[in-house]
Amino acid sequence: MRWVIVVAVAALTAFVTTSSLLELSAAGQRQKPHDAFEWQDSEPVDIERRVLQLPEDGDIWHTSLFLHHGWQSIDQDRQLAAWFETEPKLASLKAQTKWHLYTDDDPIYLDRFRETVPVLPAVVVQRSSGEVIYKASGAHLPSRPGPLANDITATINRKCPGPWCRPVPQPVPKPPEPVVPEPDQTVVIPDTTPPAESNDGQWLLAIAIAGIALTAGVAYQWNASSN
Amino acid sequence: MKNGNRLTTFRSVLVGLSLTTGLLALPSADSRSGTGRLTVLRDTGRTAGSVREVPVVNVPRVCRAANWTSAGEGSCVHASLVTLLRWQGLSEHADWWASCHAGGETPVTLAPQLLAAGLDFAETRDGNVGFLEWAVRTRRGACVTVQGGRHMVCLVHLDERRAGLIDNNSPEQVVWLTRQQFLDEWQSSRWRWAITPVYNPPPQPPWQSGDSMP
Repeated sequence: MRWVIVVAVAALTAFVTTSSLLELSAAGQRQKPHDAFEWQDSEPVDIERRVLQLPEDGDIWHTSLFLHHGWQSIDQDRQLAAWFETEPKLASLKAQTKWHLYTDDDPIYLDRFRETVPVLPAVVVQRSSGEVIYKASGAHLPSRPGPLANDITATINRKCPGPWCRPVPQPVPKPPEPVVPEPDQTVVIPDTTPPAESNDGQWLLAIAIAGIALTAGVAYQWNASSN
Repeated sequence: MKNGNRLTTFRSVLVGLSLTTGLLALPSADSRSGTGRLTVLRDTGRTAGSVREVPVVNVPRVCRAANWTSAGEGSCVHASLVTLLRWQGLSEHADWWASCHAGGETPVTLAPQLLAAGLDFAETRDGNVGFLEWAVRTRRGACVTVQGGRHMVCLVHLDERRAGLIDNNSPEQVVWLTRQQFLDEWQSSRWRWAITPVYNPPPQPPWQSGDSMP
């Protein structure tokens, strides 16, 4: 009789264990019905290991590429997307910003960008605040990747030409009361006009040096003639 | 002879200055070539954290998933997750998730499913308010338990004074509570659970310098 009980308990244990394992293996495929919020204190070890260093990336800039639905079969759109893979500076921009690719049937595009970016394809670089740093769309897009990269770089340099324009941390004043954007206030964001390459700072330095040289020359001549 | 040496020295100085001037006047290497690297890609100081939208996680209505039932159970956890997946740019994953997941979930049952699907996520199971602040600060939002742990909704705004929620039972509107009301509600729920996918929320609506508001 004792052996019968032992065998019965062993069989029951094996059945329960096997059932549990099968349920676990199926969990990723399809969720089984179960009681809502059935709490278990034991937590899988591999979950605890997935503690992430939470990314503090709220201040990172955004690069958005807006393309037509079915862009893979549209030459201009497809080429534009490819440039961000192959052109080194564009690839660098993509890697160092939050990258978005929206098509014109994407709900996010329809809700947030359709009115301000109506012409596609379009490239938009934004600060984390939403401020547009660079925008080019449709026929205004350069026809080659190099000029596009240079236009973006030049525009960024113009709007943020050096370290002095990158704010240093300081006490943050109380932020103004946020205002809910009203749809009828939105206007089309014009494409950015690529700036002519400017070296104002360098020219000023060059002029200063030339002035010093001129002054030195005059002084020398004056000194020589007086001797 | 002495004057001649001084003149030679003076001319050398002039030549040096001229060369220096000319070199400085040349365009920088970065602006001449197309291969320089961009470095100004993150806002700091006063320009950082200037979120202009309210709620911060301003999920388009069409992206807000409504709760659905399965075998008599609600799917509030899945609906909240689907909403944030869509917001964070994973619409296809969200649709797939909604098509094959339903019913109630717990922190223990949901995590393996996210892992199996290869989705990155972050969560707290101990009521860490800092987690919520991070989720809103980075504009990702978070799924949070309420009603004693029987329901889950999306936290889409949290500032010093108030909290905004999208309830999947009526996702058309944002429900506003005071910050303390919400935190009390969340902290008193059974697991004090909050979870969010870790992907990229969209940029804020575009605007240009000089615009009064977007």
